[in-house]
Amino acid sequence: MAPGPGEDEIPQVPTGTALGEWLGGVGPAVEIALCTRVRFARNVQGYRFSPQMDTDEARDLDAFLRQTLAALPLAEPLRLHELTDLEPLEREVLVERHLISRELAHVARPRSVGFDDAESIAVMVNEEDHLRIQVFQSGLRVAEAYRVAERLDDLLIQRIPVAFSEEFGFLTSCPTNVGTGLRASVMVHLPGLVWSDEIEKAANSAQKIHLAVRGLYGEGSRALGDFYQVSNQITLGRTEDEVLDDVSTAVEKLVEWERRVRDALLSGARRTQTLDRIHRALGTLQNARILNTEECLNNLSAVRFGVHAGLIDDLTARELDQILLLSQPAHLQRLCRARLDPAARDARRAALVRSVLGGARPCRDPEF
Amino acid sequence: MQPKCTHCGNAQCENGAPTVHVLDVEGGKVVKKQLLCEAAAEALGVLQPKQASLGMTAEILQHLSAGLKAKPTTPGTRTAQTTCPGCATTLQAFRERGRLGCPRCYEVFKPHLLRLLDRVHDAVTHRGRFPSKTDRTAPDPVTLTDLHQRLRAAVEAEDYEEAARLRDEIRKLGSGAPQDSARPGGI
Repeated sequence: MAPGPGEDEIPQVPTGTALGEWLGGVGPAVEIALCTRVRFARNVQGYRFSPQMDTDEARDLDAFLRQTLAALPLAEPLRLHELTDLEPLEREVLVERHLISRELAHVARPRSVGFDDAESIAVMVNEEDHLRIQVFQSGLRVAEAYRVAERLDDLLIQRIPVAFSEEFGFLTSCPTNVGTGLRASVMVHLPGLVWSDEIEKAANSAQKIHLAVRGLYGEGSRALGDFYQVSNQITLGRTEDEVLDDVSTAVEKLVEWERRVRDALLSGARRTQTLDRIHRALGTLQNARILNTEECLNNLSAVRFGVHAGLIDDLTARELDQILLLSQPAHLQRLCRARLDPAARDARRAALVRSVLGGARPCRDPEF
Repeated sequence: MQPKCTHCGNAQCENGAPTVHVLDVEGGKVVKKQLLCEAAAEALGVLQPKQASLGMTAEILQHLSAGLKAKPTTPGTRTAQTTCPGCATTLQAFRERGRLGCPRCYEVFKPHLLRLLDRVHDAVTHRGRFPSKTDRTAPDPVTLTDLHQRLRAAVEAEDYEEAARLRDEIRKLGSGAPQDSARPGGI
């Protein structure tokens, strides 16, 4: 997409254009569990925590940690970027890809990010903690993601004096992360539970075992597109294995629950309603000339349900998952090579979605 | 003989034995010591009443740590005096921000943190893995933090000779970690 009349062209920025491996659409239960993320929070001894550092201290530590990251003996070196060198739009692109946090994108102190080409590893420098080590894998693969993160963590710990106490474990800026500093989270798509009004019950069950269920898109607790993130809240007093087990087991149960509910939605009297909702969503996405983020995500959610249920032909789940990312505001502007106001974005989003979903068609339903 | 609560005079009440130690500090010296049971500590505003376990987020923690605030204080009272020597973070600043300033804060604010950690994590002790190498080879964090603090003070006082000596000492300590020769001074 090139800039249209009245749209300002923007310079191309240096980060990759390939989509992250976590959107690969492969892995256990990927129709529900899109992606697993494991992250460690680590700090360096002898330095104040990032929010407390002055600019010089942050700059020195940022340079030291970038140097350390560059020298790690990894199969593929990390691409390192100082965030002050990146355009605001490119920083937003990194946020939408989950490679950096919103805080890291906007905070004023010197800070960096390093990630691999596959975007399956990302290390944030000078976020709330000096190091946030993140590993992403598509599907429900908590243990696998953890193993990669642990190896990276070991390599770093051997090279930097890490802030650690035998009593409290790995010391972090916020006491909610102290101990293991481990957060394991799984991005899940739960249209069945939302459409059946069982999502609140599911979220409450997870909270009882100290897991957080948050909307992936949208502000606050409002979840757009039925996408949620399930993660552990407790980092102290439980071993890493216990935390991983908690998250894996809970997500496996959620997956079973979601599958059961989807089956029920596609059976008996509810089938017609469900098909109507999915096919209307497909029709909207194929024909709309204006799509805001909310309408786009909600309709993509319904179509994703339909694709995984085998109700839609000539559209792959991977194409759909990529649209989820590419239709986000910063990606859309980068794709168009233009700064767009919200109205222009909505029009461009509709055009992008039509171009990908244009050939998709509902399967013939044997029951009709 | 069992110790008694300074406030209610009981050695044992429904909440158990008195376990909360309160030290009033003025000018760096302890001027008053109290031993309180939990009920008395809560009544005096030293501790927040314990509630059912919550799903914690950083935002909730921030509210909670703010809620641990004692009654409004004036300069020279107990709260105003609790400051981390490593980073100058005060207890009040921690309560307001929900963030600690440096690793040393964990020791300095330990009495307050323990209750907070218990509520957030339902535990107060680490059970996860230990860093495999650095725990034996890395310098004492308190020592390093102290040195950084002194270096900052020396630079501010324009005592460059002392600053250079401290920087060398920091580098020497820093090199205790493997492959750490490139480590900067940290200021």
